[in-house]
Amino acid sequence: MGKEGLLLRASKAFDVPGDVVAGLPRIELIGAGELRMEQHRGILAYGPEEIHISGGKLVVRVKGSGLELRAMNPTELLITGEIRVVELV
Amino acid sequence: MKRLVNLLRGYGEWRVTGCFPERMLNLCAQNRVQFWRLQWEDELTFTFRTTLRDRKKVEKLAEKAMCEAKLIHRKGVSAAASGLAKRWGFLLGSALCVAAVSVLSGFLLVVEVEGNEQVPTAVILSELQRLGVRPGAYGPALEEKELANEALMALPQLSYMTINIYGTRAEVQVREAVKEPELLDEDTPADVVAGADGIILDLRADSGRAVRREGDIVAAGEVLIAGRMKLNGPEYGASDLGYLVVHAAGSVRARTWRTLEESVPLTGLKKEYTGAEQTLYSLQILWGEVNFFKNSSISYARYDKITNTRMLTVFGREMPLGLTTTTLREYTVTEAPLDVEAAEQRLRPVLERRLSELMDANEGSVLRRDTVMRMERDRLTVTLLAECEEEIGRTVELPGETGRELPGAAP
Repeated sequence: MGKEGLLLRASKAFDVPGDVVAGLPRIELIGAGELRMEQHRGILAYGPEEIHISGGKLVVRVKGSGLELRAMNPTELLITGEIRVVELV
Repeated sequence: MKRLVNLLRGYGEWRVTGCFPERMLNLCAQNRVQFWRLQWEDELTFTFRTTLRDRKKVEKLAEKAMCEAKLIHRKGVSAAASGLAKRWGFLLGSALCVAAVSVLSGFLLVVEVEGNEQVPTAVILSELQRLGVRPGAYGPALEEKELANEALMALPQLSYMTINIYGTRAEVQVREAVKEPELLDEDTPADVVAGADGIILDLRADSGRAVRREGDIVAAGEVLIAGRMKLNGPEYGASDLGYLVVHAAGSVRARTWRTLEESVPLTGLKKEYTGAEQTLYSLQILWGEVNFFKNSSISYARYDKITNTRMLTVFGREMPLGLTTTTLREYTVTEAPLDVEAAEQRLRPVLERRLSELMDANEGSVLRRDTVMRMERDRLTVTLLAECEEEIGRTVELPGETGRELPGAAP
């Protein structure tokens, strides 16, 4: 069990949000036009129809059309466009 | 708003090409390089915008991500400023231009005088020029109030002056002084005497004793109203009360005959132009004059000098820049007999003017006039005989004091 797993368990045990304690990714979808993600680990693939974002142990696949990475900093990113699918892999 | 901020900060548009361009984005995010307007051109290439401040960071990160980052556009205020920085000639010119405008706008170009009617503008301008208020003077260095006071001291015809400086224009507003009425000096004894020969038409003594009456023929210098009056005592009385001395005053109108003469020699010098001319130019700039003929010599023995200055006028305002043309016209002088008729025609207006001035001074009018011309020896004389009606009373002051009684003194 890695550090992340331990922290995840601890967050569950103490009943506190995982994104705060374990640094787990937090995804916020506003309608179908805006996706905000915190605690990401970087872009893996980028295109107007599909964007892959690393979230540590999982990868977030955002599918749609006219996708655009509007803003990005070490912890947060914002994707706009017509979002149709959000997959966790 | 964001766009405006970006424009002010200045931004660059980059084209990034590499095997893993996403890595470049991640590196930018990790290193807090703010980017926007990300557009994917193909699988290996994208464009995005960053602030110009992050330019070096982007280059380093691109190297780290094994990408090629090329700055394709630079926009915004700071980009324009950095572009101008390389054009030092333009910058220097702009700086000089700004300095010239800010410094030169302090120098006066025009001095305008307003509010004067009797006092000539040239007299006021001349005094102001003496004090330093002239085209070319540095406006901020002028003490308007002090200068106006000094000018007022030198120009008693003015009662008020204010100098306002508006950039390159000095506006001088003046008010003329009301002329003080002449006070009658009643303390000095005086007689009224005849100023010219004539027949008295009307005599009115305001003060003193009239010693002549209407219809009397008087010669110039005769006393008409005496300032010394005999004081009469009571009838049958033997005492001598003496005299009362006053400042005699009054009006004496008389019919006079004026004779005015003007003469000219029958032979005179005649001026003839040879046709030779020389034109010289000079430039009037601000307070100075630039002569283009400083070293040129004038070969004419006799010449007329005709100077014509044309000042530059912009929107009706005269600028302190002008061209002066000086024409030297050579002439010779020869002795020639006088044209009698022309000479008479020339002398008549002179006599008329003299008579007119005389009548103006004496509040008179001309009743009849005649002109006589005669030639004597080598001169032509024109005589104007005029019958006039005028004021002939002249005040002649006497020694002593007024109001003093002189018992027993002879008149």
